[in-house]
Amino acid sequence: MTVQADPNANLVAQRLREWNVRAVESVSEFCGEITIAVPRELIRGAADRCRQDATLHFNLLSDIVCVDRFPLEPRFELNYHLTSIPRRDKVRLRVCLSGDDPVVDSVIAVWPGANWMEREVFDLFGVRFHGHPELRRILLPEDWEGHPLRKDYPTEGFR
Amino acid sequence: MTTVETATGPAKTMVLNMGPQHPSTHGVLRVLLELDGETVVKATPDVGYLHTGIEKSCEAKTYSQAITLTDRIDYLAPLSNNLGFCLAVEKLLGLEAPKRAQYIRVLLTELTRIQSHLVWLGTHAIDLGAMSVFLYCFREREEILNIFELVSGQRMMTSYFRIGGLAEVGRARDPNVAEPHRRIRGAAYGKPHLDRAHQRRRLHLRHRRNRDEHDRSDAPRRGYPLR
Repeated sequence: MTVQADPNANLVAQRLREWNVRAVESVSEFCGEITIAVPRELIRGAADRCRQDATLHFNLLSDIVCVDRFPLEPRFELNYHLTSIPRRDKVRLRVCLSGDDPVVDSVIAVWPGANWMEREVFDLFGVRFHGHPELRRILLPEDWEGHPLRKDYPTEGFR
Repeated sequence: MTTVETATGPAKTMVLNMGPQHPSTHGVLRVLLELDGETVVKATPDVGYLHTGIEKSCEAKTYSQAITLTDRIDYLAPLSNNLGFCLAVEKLLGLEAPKRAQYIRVLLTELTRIQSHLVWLGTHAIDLGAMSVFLYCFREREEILNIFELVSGQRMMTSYFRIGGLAEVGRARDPNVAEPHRRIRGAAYGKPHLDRAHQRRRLHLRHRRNRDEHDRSDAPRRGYPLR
């Protein structure tokens, strides 16, 4: 089961907290994987810290994964899977977004590879990324209606 | 026609659609090309033609049912995707597959990797105009698919790995499936030049040497020629 971990025991959480005391909402651990919850307005800065800080050096954004917790609120959960190739370390940054205003700052300026990942999350979940240069659908046709991976989008019989 | 700035000053460009079906794309990919004469000044890729929405289909299925969908994520590497999915579910459940299953999983997944790479190599050689490489690659790949058929009953889309282990059906003990074993053995001993007829002849001679130990009426079923 997921357990709350000691925020001071984890280097990433420690460094983020030194940068901004509000940056770390919680630290949890599951199967040896660390997840750090970050407030929505600080994700862009936290991502930048993780990338630039020489002791963290998360130079690869492996993936951005969205989870729809419908009908719970906050509804959407964005998971940024960060990998540090030189330090051989992984961490997950988590941002929670409300269902009526799913907007978050883009991290393309930190990791250019986030471009298509954010387009995919937008396409399938309808989460918007502020500052994305061309936020349009990537997998589905341009004229598709709705965002299919939302839990209130039925598996069949939509049309 | 639009005008763009290029290294040699403003130029008239033309937008040309490439794909989604094109011999060089190996799959489906559409690229919107902006051309200045024969020079590509901008390429806008349009992906998603192979997006099947497997993750949405999984929503309405149990973990065990979803295994058959993971085969189809990459039809050249079904077992690799079986493995990734089963390991993830086992991690969530706190399960560990038995040692024997783990060994079989690793062996089959590595064989999957080889046969998948053989398709890659063969098709890329075709792009260079080398047809024979393709034929050699597919000949070797067939041997690996024989092994898949031997263990799971399927050559592709095996769905052989299960959460917590394997779909064991005991086919390996069936004497009817001894034939692929021998074909594989011939190749493994560095005699890939032996075609099937040669191998049958070899087996026939061996059978004649040992015929006192064998029941001849059983021979056709065991894959031995009667002549």
